[in-house]
Amino acid sequence: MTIKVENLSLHYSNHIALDNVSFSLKEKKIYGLLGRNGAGKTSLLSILASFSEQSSGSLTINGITPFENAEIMQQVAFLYDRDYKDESDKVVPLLQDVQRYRPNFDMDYAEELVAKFKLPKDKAVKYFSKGMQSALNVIIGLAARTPITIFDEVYLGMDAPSRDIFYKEVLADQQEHPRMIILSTHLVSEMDYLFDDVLLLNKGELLLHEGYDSLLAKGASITGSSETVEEFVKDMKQIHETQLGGTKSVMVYGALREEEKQAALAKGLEIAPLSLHELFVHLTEEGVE
Amino acid sequence: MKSSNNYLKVMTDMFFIQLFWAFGVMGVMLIIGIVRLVLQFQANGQDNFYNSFFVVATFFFFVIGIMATSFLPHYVGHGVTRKDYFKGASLALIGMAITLPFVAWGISVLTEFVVENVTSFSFREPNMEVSIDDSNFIGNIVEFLIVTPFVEPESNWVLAIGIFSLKILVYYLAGWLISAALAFYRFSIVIGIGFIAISIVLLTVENVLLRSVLSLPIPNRYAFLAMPEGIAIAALFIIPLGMFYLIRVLTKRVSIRV
Repeated sequence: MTIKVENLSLHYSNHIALDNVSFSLKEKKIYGLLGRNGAGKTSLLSILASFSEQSSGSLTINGITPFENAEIMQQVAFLYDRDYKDESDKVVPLLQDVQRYRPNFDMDYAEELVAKFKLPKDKAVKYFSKGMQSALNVIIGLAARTPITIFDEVYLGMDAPSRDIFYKEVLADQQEHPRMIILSTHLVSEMDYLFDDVLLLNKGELLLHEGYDSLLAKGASITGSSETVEEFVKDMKQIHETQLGGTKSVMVYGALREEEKQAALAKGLEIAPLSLHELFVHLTEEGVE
Repeated sequence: MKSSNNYLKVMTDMFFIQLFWAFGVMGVMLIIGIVRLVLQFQANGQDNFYNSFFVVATFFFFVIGIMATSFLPHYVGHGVTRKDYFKGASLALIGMAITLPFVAWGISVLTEFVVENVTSFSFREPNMEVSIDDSNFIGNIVEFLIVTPFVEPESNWVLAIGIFSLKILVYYLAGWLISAALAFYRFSIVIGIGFIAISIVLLTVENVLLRSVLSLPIPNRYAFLAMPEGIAIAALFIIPLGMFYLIRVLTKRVSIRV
C-alpha cells in the first residue's frame, strides 16, 4: 500500500483545515500523526478514510482515489472517538457485524481482546463507560487487520492500564501482521516509543515528516552561561529558551554536526537530547517558524 | 468475500433490522387489539388487523425512513461505499414494502378466523373517507396525508397489496429524503424546510393520483391535478423513482462528520 498526498487542501467557508499538504507513506510502519487541537489531523484522516473529500489537491492509495472506491475503502479502517449511545447490540454481535464487512477480521483475536480489556459480554454497548467504548474501537481497529488502520485519539476515556494494553497490542500485532497503522494523538510522551515515523501538522500545514530516530537526533538543548550559549546558537533554529540567573538553556532544531558538538563541549556547554514531547510542544508554539 | 457484494449485505442487514422493528410494532398492535377485545371497549367492533396496520404503517414507514439516513455513517465507517449503502437500503425498502402487506394480511385473516370462531365479536368495515370540504386548510392536508387510498384485499388482493406497498414505499422515501437533506447540514435550514415541503407535495400528489386512478372522490382543491388515467398511472411510479434519485443525489458525495 502506498499513500500519496499531493497539495491536499480542505477549505470550509470560514476556515482552512488543510493547506497544501504533501507527503507519501510507503512502508508498513506505525506512523504518529501529531498536532495540536484544530491542526487538521482529523480532516486529513477523514479524507484518507473516504469520510469526506478534499477541496483541492489529491490523495491516492496505490494510485487510486479512495473516495467511493469499494476495493480501497474496504482496506482502510478509521476508528475515532465515536459515541455508541444508540447501540443496543452487545459486544460480540457488534463485532460479528463488523466481521461481515472486513475480509481480514480475526474474531478469535477480537474475543481475546474483549477479555483483555475486560469488556462485559452481557451488556448492551450503549451502557458501556467511555473507556470501554474506546476499548471497543481499539478492538475493532486491531481485529479488522485492514492494510491501513487509523486510530484517531481513540484512547479517550481509557484508564492508564487499558491504554498500556492498547499500546502493547498495537506493537505486537503490527509485528505479527505488518500493516500501516496511523496513530493520531496528543499523548506524545506516552506513545512516542510506538512510532517508526512522525508526521507533525500545525495549523493545517505539514511541519515535518521524519523517521522517529532521525527526528530526535535533530533536537538538542544547549545549556551554559548566557553569553556562551547565545553566541553558540545564534545561527541555529531556536525553538525555546529558558533562563535562570546567568545560566541559559536553548532548545535548537536541526542536526548538530560532530564538530559543533565538540566545539560546544570545549566551551563548557552541555548538550542534551530533546524528547518528542518537547519537540512537539515547542515546534507548534505560536511564534516559532 | 468480495467488496462488490457489500450492497447485498447492507440489503440483508437493513431488511431484517427494519422487519424486526415492524414485528415489534405489529406485536404492540396485537396486544392492544386483544386488550380492547377482552375489555370490549368498542361495542360496534374494531378494525381488523390489516386495516389498522394500513393506517399505522404510514407513520411507521415515514419514521423508519427518517432513520434510514443514520445507517450511512455506520456503513461508511465499515468501509462500504455510499453507492452500496444506497443500493442496499433501496432494495431492503422494496423488500419490506412488498413483504409487510402480505404479513399484515396473513395476521389479519388468522386473527379474524380465531376471533370470529371463538367469540361473537365481528370486525367493522373500514372507514377510509376523507373530508371533501375546504374549510380547514392545514387540517385537511394532514388528514389527506394520513388517510390514504385503501382497497380491501378481499375485493382485489393484487390491487390492495399493490396500493399498500406503493403507499408505504413513498412514505419511507419521504422520511429518507427529509433526513438525508437535513442530517448532514449540507444545505441551509431554508433548503431543509424546502425538502419537507417537497416531500409533502409529492405525497399529496401521489395520493391524489392514486385516488383518481381508483375513482375515489378527490377534494376540490386538488381537482386541478386531474389528468388522463395513463399519465396518472405513469406518474404514480415516476414520483417514487424521482424520490430515489433525489436521495441518491443528496447522499452521493456527502461528508461523514467525525
